[in-house]
Amino acid sequence: MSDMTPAPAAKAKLARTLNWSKTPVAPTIVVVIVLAFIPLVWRNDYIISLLVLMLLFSLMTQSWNLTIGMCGIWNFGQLAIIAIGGYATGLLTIKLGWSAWLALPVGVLAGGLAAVIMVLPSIRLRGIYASMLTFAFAEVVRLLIIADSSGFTGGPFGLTGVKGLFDNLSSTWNLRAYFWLTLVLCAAVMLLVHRMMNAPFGMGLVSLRESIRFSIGMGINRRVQFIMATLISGLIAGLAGGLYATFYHGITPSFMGLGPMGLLVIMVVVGGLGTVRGPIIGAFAVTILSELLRDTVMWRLVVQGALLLLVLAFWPAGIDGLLSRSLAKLRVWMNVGQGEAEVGAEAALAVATPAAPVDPGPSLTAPAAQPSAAPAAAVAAAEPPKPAKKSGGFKAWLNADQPKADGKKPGGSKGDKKT
Amino acid sequence: METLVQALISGLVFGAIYAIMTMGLTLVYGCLRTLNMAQGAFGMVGGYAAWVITTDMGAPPIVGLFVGALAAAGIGILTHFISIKPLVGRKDIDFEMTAYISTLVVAIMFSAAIILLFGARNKAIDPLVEGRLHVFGTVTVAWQQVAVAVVAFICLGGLSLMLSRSRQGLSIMAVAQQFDAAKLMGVPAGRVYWVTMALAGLLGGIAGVLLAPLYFVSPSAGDLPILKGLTVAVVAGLGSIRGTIYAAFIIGLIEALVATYVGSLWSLPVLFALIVVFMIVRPYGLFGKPEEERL
Repeated sequence: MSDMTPAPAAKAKLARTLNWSKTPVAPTIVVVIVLAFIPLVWRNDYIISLLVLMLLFSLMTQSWNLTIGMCGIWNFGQLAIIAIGGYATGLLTIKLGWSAWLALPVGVLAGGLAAVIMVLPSIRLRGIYASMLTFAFAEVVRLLIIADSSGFTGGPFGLTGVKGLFDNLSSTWNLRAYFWLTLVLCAAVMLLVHRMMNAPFGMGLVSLRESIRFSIGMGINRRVQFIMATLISGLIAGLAGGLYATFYHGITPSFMGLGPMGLLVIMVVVGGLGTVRGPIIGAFAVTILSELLRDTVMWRLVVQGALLLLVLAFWPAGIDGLLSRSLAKLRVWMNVGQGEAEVGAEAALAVATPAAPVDPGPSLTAPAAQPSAAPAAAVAAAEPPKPAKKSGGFKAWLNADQPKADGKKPGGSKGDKKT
Repeated sequence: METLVQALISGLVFGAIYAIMTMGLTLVYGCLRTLNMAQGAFGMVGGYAAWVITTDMGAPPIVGLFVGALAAAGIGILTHFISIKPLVGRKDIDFEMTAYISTLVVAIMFSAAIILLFGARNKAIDPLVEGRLHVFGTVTVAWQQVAVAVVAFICLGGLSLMLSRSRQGLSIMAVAQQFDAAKLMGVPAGRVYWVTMALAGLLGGIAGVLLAPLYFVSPSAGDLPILKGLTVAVVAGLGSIRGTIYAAFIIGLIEALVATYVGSLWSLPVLFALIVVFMIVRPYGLFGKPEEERL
């Protein structure tokens, strides 16, 4: 407690308290290798194409989550960015006869560029105004493509005849190749996002989301951070769009409509807004649900919408939040009776976690410090009090995936924003 | 000259529809701090109710207007109870964004439900009044447009009377201006919430029925109106009633002028480009409060 010098062990502890966890490269590679055997074991083309669709959806939700969940930019035009990536890739292969392998990177860049152009004017705006601008941007892109009668983009019927990446393979191997490619890309993107969110850059984004004033006071450059995050999100979106266009050999403007947007919103929110795993879980869960409801196509949206309303009402942190909460509870239960400081610190976080939603206090500072004497001592043992308190809150937040638990939020804001 | 007058008239008519449509958004935002993305769906449901009552059951169009408005009001209350009420006062969520998302999803659910009930085909609906009014020269106005403008102005007048005179209206204004003070004075906030949503549904339903003969009744009939409504609300400054009326007419006129002189294809893109520029210059809208505008 008295030793303030950052010894290596203490440093590691600080990193852990701040949740700068190491990127799980090795486990991910193992999981990817295991999953890669699916198409060889389960030889059903339909299932494989469904899996490819899920992976594409998780790329899209991941890219969207990066802006709307991680940075709190109210970006409701992400589908237009994805579509721009798809259209750029498709147009290059059709009009210029490029190979899809050459066109895809250009599509990726187009997505990044479009995202930056879209978000630039809305950075200064307050949430709802920004949502309006991005929504309008997407709608204008969609209407312009629909209204295009010159035959360049195919108008309302969309692009057809986009070259695929693996056109010279047989259809089964084509599917498998797409599955492996999207699987690897999806894992790579997940690792990238995880790395980013656990680096100071990502912490800056989270802190900007939670309180812009505080973050600017701490010297975080909002403009640079937001533009970088948008750029990365746009690049991922362009990749997803390009892959989508080459996989289905086409893309239509209805891809940008309200229906698909609702679907993506449902995926992101059901999975867990503002978490790394959430969008992937959501994409898979919602796509599987859609498949189960395949025979009743129109009920599908109603059921999915009802699912979203339920999730919002009961588990606003989504499936991912639910999972990590039960994990934390499990950990508390397993650690009961063990008196070491190490375990105590773990328990502090675990105890703080279920408490967070109930606790009205600002989570940035409160939970870890409150629960009981032993955990508090454990935290204090690691660090000088102030940063430890704060980081405990961060850790609790990251583990509970309670993105919006601090004081500036609804109940209070209803009253005080009104003046 | 004559094209100009024609464009101005159609701009005024559309401005009037936008005004009542957006007034619903403004009231709900002012009172509940929710950007109600289901406002377009209210109009869509109102249009369908009017279609059922007039085309299927043969009632006169004016009855269709009333029934459509009432149905939309009911849908407004329903929306409040399924998508907004569960979120009010929660500490663990960002209320504004969550409510935005949940109302957006409710709007999508309503159009899916409408497709289930009525199919995806467009339905034609009779106008309130047939025929055209000759103003001068080649300038003519459909009587329907005149009726639209008249109904819209009656609605706006009635609304302003209600907000400034009636008990319900005053409590809505009180909650919108100072939530805590209103509660302390004994205004029943819970009731004010759903009454506001019903009012928004009523206005959206009237706008939907008025728009229906000009376009069609279809499951996606709410998409364009909500987009226009959002534009108007944002230009006005969210929550400002006076701003909404100005902005609605400005946007109606700009749109009509662009459609006449540049081409109707360009009216939306040009409008949005103008609005992007406007938002950069004045990020809190015409009548928004500057301290609210940016963080």
